[in-house]
Amino acid sequence: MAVTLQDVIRQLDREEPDYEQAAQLGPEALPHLRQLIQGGNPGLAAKAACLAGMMNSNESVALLELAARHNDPVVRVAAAASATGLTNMPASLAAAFLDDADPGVRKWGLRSLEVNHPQGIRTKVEKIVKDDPDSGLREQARKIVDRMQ
Amino acid sequence: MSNRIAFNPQDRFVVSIGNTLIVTTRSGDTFGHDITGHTADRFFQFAGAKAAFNTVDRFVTTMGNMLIVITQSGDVFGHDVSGRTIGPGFKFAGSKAAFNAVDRFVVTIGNMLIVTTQNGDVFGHDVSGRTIGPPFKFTGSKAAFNGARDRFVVTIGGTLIVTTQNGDVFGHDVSGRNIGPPFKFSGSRMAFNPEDRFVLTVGNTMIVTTQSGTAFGADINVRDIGAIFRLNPDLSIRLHAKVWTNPTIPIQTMLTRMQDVFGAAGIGVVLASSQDFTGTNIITALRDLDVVPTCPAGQLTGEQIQLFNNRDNVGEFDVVAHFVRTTSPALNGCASHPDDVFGAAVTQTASVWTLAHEIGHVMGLRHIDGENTNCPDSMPRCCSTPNVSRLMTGCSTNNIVGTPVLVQSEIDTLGSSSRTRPS
Repeated sequence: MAVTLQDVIRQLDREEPDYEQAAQLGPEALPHLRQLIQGGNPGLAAKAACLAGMMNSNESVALLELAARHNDPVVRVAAAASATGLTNMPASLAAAFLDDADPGVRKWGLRSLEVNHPQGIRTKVEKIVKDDPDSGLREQARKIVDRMQ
Repeated sequence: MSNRIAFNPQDRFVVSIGNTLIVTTRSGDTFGHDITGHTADRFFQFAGAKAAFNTVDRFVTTMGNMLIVITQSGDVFGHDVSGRTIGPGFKFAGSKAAFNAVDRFVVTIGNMLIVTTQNGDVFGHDVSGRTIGPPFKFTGSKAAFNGARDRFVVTIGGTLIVTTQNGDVFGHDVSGRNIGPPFKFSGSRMAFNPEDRFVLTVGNTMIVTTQSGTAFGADINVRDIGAIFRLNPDLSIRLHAKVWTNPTIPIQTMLTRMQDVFGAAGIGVVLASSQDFTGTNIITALRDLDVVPTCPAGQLTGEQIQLFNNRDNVGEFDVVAHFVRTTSPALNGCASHPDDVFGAAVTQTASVWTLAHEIGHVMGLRHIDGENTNCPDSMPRCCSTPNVSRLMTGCSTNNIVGTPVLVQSEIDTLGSSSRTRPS
C-alpha cells in the first residue's frame, strides 16, 4: 500500500517519535519528507529532516541540503544532527553546516564529521578551531582535526 | 508548610499585589502566597512592619505595590511592599476616606480609591503619591446596593465586579468618573457557598477563599467567567523551569495547561523557580541537546547528565523542566533523567501539552494502550486509533481537543509518586 503524507505525519507528529519504526515506511516516504521540510511547520520539518538522515538513502542528501537552507535554525540543527546517519556526506553539505551562523548547527555539523570525513573539509574545521566565537566549538573542532591527522 | 489560604479565624483581610495573594491577620502579621497560573504556592510570612492590626482598621486594599489601610475614622495609612517585606506604615495626607457607617466596600482602580455605599452611591478619591484627594461622587449607575445579597466587590482592570449571594456576578465598566450600567457576566457562578470567606482578584483571575482554606479560581475573559479550578490542591508538584530557549508556546501557557489537567486530578503544580540560561555566558551546546533515542528511562547521554547538573534551587522531591531548543533526534520532549534529579527536557517546537505529558512520564505515567490497533508487524506503534482525549497519548498531543483527562489509574500513579507532596 502506498505511503501517504498522513502516514508520515502520524509517525512524526508525536512527543517522542520512534524514528527506527518510522524508517520502516521506506523510500516512498521521501517525497513526503521533502514536502514537510518545505512546509510551514518547523517542528514537523525538523522531524522530517531527522528521519531523512536516518533513512540514509540516495535521496537523503538532497533532503538534508534542502533542510540546511531552511530559515529556521531548529530545522537546520535537525539536518546537521541527522547527517551523522549518512554513510557518504558530501563536502558541500558538511561545509554548509560548518559555515552556518548558528552555533547549534555548527556543533552538530562537527559531530557529523566524527563519522564522515568528506574530502576537503579539513580547512573548514581548522577555521573553526581558529576563529569560532564559541570556545566549546573550538575545542570540539580541535579534537576532530586531531582525528584527521 | 501549607498552601491552605486564610483559614485561621484571626485572618482578617485578603488582597493581592501583583501575583501575590496577601493575608493580613488581627495581630498585624502578614502572609503571602505566590500564584503562578492556576496554582497557589505555600504560604510565606512577610518580613518588616506589621499592618492592619488595630481594631479600628476597617478596610484594606492595594494600589500598585502599596498596602492601604483605612480606619473607622477615615484616616488612611500605607505600607510600601517590596518583595517579601512590608515597609513601615505612613499616614496619607489629604482627605479622609470611607469613614461613614454606610460605606461598605473599598477597592481601587488605577490611582483611584473607590468607596461604594449601602445605597449604591459610589465615591472616589484620586491618590497622588502619599496624598488622598478630595472625595467626588461618580456619575452614572449605582453599584452594589442590594444589601446583603451583594456580597463581595472587587475590580479587574477598569471594571467593578459585584458577586451576589447566589453566585451571579455583575460588572460595571468605570470610565473616568462615571460608573457604567450593570451587566451580568456569563459563565461560571462565583462565591455562592456560605463558607466562602474572601474574594479577590489576581490579574484576570477571580479567586474565592473558603473558611477551610481551600481556594478556587476562575479566569475572566471580557464579560465571561471561565471554568472554576482549584487553586490550592491538597497534593502538589514543585516544578523548576530552566530556560535555555523560550519555546514557541510560552512556558506560562504550557504551565497553565498542565495545572488544568493535573489540577482536575487533585494535584497542583507550583512553579517553584525559573532560571534563565538564554544569555551568552552559558554552555550553548546544551540548547541543542543530544539525547538517547526514544528516551528510555535511566539512559542518558553525557549532555543530558550535564544538563541535569544545573539544579540550583531544586529540592530533593522537586521536578525540573529544561526548556531546550532542540533534541537530537528531534523530539517534542524527553523524560529521561538521572536517578537523583527528576525532570524532562522540552523543546522549542513542543505542543501546549508537551510539558504536562513529559512530566507525566517523569511521575511514572506511560503512554496509553489502545492506540495501535491492527498495526502491521513492521510498525507495532502505528497510531491507527489515537485517543486525543488523553494526556498520555503516544500519538500526537497536537491533536488534543479541549483539556485532556487523566484516568483514575493514572491519578493513582501520580498520587503515589515520590514527587507528589502534600501541599
